[in-house]
Amino acid sequence: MRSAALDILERPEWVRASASRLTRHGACCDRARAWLVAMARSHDFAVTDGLAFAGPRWLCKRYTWGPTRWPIAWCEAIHADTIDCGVFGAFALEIFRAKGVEAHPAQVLRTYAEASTTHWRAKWAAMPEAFNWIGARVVYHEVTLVHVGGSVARIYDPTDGVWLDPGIRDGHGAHVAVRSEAPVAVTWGAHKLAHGQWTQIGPMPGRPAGA
Amino acid sequence: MANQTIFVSGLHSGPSPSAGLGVARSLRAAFGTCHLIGIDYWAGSSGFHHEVFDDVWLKPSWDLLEQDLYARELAAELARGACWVPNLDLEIAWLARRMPAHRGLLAPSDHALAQTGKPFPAVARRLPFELPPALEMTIPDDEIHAFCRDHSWRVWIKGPYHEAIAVASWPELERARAQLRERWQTDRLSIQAHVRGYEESVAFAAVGGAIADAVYMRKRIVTPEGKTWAGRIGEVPAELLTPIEAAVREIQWTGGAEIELLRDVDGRLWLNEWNPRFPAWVHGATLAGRNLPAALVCRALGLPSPAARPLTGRVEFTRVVLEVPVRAELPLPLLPEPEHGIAGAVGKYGAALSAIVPLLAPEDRVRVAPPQVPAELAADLRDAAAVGATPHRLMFRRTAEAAFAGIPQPARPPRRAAGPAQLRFAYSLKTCPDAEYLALARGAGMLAECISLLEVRRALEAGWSAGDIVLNGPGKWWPSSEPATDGLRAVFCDSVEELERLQTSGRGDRMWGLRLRVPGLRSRFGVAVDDPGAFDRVCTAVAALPPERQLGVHVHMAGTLVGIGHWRDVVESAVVWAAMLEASTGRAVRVLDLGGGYHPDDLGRIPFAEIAAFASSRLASLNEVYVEPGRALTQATMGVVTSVLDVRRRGGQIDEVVVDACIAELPLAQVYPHRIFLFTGGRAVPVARGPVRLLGRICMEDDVLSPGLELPSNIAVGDRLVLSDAGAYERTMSYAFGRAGYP
Repeated sequence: MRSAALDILERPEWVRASASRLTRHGACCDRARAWLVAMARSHDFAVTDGLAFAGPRWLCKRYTWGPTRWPIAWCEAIHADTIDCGVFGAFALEIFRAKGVEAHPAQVLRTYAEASTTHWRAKWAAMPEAFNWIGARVVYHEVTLVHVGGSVARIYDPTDGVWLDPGIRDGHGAHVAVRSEAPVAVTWGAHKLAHGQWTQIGPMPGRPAGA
Repeated sequence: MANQTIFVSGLHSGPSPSAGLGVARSLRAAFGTCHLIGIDYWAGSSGFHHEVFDDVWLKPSWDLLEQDLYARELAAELARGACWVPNLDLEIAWLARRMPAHRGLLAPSDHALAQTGKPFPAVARRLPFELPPALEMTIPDDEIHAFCRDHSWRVWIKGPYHEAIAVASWPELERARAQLRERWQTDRLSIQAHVRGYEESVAFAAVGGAIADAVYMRKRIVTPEGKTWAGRIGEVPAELLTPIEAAVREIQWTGGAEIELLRDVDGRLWLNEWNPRFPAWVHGATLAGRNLPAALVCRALGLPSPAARPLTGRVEFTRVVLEVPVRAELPLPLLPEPEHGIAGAVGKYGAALSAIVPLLAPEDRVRVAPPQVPAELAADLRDAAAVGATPHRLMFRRTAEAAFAGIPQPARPPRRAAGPAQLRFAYSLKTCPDAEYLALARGAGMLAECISLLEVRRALEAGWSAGDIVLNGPGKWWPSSEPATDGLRAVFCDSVEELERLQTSGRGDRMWGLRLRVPGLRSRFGVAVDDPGAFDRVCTAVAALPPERQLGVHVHMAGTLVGIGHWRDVVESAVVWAAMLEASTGRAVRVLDLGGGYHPDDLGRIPFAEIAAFASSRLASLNEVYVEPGRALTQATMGVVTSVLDVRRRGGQIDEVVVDACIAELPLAQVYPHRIFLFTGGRAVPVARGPVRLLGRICMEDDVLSPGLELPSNIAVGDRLVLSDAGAYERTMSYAFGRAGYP
């Protein structure tokens, strides 16, 4: 954790954070995981499209993004209507791995203006057990790193159903730092991501007035 | 450059904008005092009114334009030192044919254009892009249908220069083909497989085969018409730019161009189209610091080019909608009087551009190849000559025998414990319950697949035992007056409620199962599992089955409607669900039933043994995989012999032919292509697609048996045709409308 990104890890829990993990009750959760994988195969169209790395786009059509009460078990998560990026990330990881794609959890820090974050903060305040992901300058977000060959990786954001663009470094929604849980170093665009470390990839936003 | 005159055409800035306005704004940005003249061929072209133009030329639409005069006007302006930057594809093609090369005419030559035309651009061999599968649409309809099935009915019908329509079924394809043929006045259309990918582009400016500048663009926001609304400009990667430069050099390209690409998520780049002009978003690149139109003009005039500049920080652009005042000297065209229909009157930009097409390709009418005729069908058609009264549905016996001969006999002894599940073929009585077909099916060792108790009775009467009958469908216990034969081989329920009733029925069938409604499919049949609660309910019902009852899973989606790849996705998905059902209930799945709906030509192409092996790898206790060939066995084995009742002409040419068959005999006439034959000199000759509509005998507007056939000018009342591919549901869904007796 020697990265310059440490400077903007505003909350101690972000420093310690690794990928969100869903808990397991027992057989009910095994069935829930299997249901998720079967749903993903039905929406994959692997033969029709001939694509190995197609992401689970159906997730963000089926589930609404919002606060999740943690901890949450698999059998509870699949029944939920609203899930946060940690659950989205856990779902996507399970789906990529089930179809034989090497995937790992990853986290990003993103910049957003107060005009957006004040609303999210209010929404999350209604659920005290939810993860505190909104900082003064950046927000914490969970994504999925997909190994596409050699040391090359791409990053899928299952919450929005998009592949992140490593060239976007500043502005609304830009990712200024990335943390990969891939066991080895990988390259993402022009960036090299070491295992378990926050890597700064964009300019830090200034501190808001009075912060 | 102070007084340089530059003509720019293609000015309409609507939902599908031309590039002229963006080109002009870029030129103005580079050469503040040049003299910019905008050209278009419709008074409503909105770009006329933009302040960027010093002057405008409104020319007549292309169907009224005096071409010789226009060519002389253009040549005179070029001789005076003007530059001409055309931005309409068809106009560019006309210029290439009509105008000699000139340093001020910044457009590709006819030779260069020919290297980039659809659907197989020769220049593609120089480029590091894959080409989506495509076909010229001059092949017979049954081959076009096969292409669509191969690509899972995700295809585009494309015009000869631009315009593409996505189609997902045969009726949609027919509509799109008719629409494009009408618009472009040619049969030179093509069909291209859809590629699932991001839309990206390389745009460049070149003179004499040398690229002056190039940029890469990734679309960020796309309009409902698929047009760019916002995008991100970047450098062209070296691994793409080098081969593009080589290709441009080889074909000696001059002018702007846009290479439209599709990038799939696996990283492959596909060449969609090579457009012979700048893209409409070209000013977005100028805002990012790369002015392609200026680079083009500078290179053409031998002026020092603006140094290749790095992109600015503002590499993203978007469009906005702006109102601008209309030039006083060019008032807007009046709207035509609203017509009777509910569609409002709209502008007709580009409506006459297609008038250029016949000028570009004035050769003879495109000839479409007639369908191929297999040997068995040729022999069967000879029997059709002996038919008396018409219309008459005729069994093609040799074709039927050949189809059933292709069914592998059941393996003896049955499956070994360690091997893959055994394939068993089941004949669907609904695809033809006639005695000849039932005998063929029994001879081929097939099981019987029924969807009602009446069909069960028919199967028993034909000699099948109850233990060889598979009962399917949402209303399988109908009619209640019929005894519900017990001891069937398999019963697949269409709902959880039906399975629960079965548990209390006291029946002793060998196997009970469920038809799955695989998520992502639009189907009214089967048990939904796309909700965890619904799946839990399925599991509860399955877990409660008597232990002695075997469990099966049925999946069905017509391959002829969704295509082969999609069908396989559905089947593999069903296997995954079956495995999950096993894991969740502790009940082993013993049978997998693959429903019918295959096209006759696909039955031999689908690797059922491979699919059985895949299923066995996921379902350890799987004993049997039932394959229901359905219409694949019977569709091609019948024809309707029909007689000509009326021959109608327009302008001396045959326009429509009425026959005594109709959609009552061929209720699916418009759902898939039928091979049609004309008796000439005692022989049945295959008929190609052509201009003559074939109409049925009944007074229904949709009684159109073919939208177009190539029929001889001497066809006469009483001549006979055979409409083949009239078995299966054409046989069993036919009805009595228009005949003397009704049921």
